[in-house]
Amino acid sequence: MASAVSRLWFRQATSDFHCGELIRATNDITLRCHAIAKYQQCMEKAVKGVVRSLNESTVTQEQPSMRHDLDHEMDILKRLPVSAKTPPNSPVGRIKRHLDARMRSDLQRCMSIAPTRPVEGVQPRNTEYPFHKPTGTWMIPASADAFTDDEVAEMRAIAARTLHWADEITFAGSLVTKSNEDRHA
Amino acid sequence: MTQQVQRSELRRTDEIRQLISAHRELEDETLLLAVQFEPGRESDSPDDVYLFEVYDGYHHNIVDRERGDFTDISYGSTDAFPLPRDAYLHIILTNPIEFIEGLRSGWKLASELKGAVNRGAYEILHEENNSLIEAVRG
Repeated sequence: MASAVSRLWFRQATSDFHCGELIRATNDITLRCHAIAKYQQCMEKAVKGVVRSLNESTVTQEQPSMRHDLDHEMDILKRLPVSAKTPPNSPVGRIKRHLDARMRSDLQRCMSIAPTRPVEGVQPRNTEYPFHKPTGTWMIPASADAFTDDEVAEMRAIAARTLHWADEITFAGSLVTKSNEDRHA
Repeated sequence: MTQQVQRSELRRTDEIRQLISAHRELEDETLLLAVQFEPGRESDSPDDVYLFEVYDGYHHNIVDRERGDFTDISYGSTDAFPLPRDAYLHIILTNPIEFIEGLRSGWKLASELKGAVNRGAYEILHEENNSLIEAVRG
C-alpha cells in the first residue's frame, strides 16, 4: 500500500503546534515571534496535508506548493465541485463544511506574517527577518513590542482549529485512498 | 482531419452551470466571466472538461509574470462532478488585469482560449460585462 504522505504532513503540523506550545509556555515576550512562527507553520502544513490528501484520493492532480501564502492551496480547496450528492462526511464534504470565508480570511491573515520579499524596498512585518515599522525604522521580530500576547493567542486558536480540521480530512482521505487501492488490487 | 469542435460538442453543461453557481457565491472574489471551451489538446483525454474563469480580486489582481501563464487546476471524478477514469475537469483561473496581459503576451492558456473562440468551440456561461470576451475576439 502506498504511504499516506498527507498524514506525514499532518504529523509535522502537529509537531509544529507542540513546539509553539512549548515556546508560548516560557512566557518570554522576546519569543512571541517564534511561537507565532510555529503556529503559522502548523497551519501551512495542515492545509498542505489536506491538498495532498485530495491528490492521494484522486480528487485532484494538484500537489501542495512550496510557497507560504497558501494561494495555490486555497484555489484548489475553495472551488472543489460539491453538490447535494456529496456525502457530508467525505473529505470533500468536510472541506466545504469548514472552509468558509471566515476560515479562509483567518488563514490568509496568519500566512501574511511569514517572511516575504520586500515590497518596493519595504520589508513587511514577519516572524523571521528584521522588518520596517510603519515609521520606516527597522525592528527585529524578537523585539518585545513586535508582537502581542493577543496575537499569539489568536494564532494559537486558529492553528488548533485548522489542525483539528486537517486531522479529520486527512484521516478520512487515507481511508478513501486505501479503499481505492483495495478495489484496484 | 479537421480538429474543429462545434459548440454542441461541449460536454457536461448542467454540472458546469452548478459549479459556476457555487463560484458566484464566493464572498472574497467576484466572478466576471465563465466560459466552457474546448482547447483541442491532443495530450488530454477526449472526456476532459475545460472551464475558464476570470475573477475580480483573484490573487489580489496581481499579474504572475514569474509563472507566465494562468492557473490551471485539475480535478478528477467526484460525486458532484463524475467523470470517466483518467478524465479531468480543468478550471483555469485569472483576474481581469492578468487576463488582458496574458492575451497580449500570448500565454499558452490564453492562446488556447483564443483558438477555441475563433473556432466557435466555446460557450459563455456567465458574464458581468462583455469587454473581457471582446478582448479575446479582438
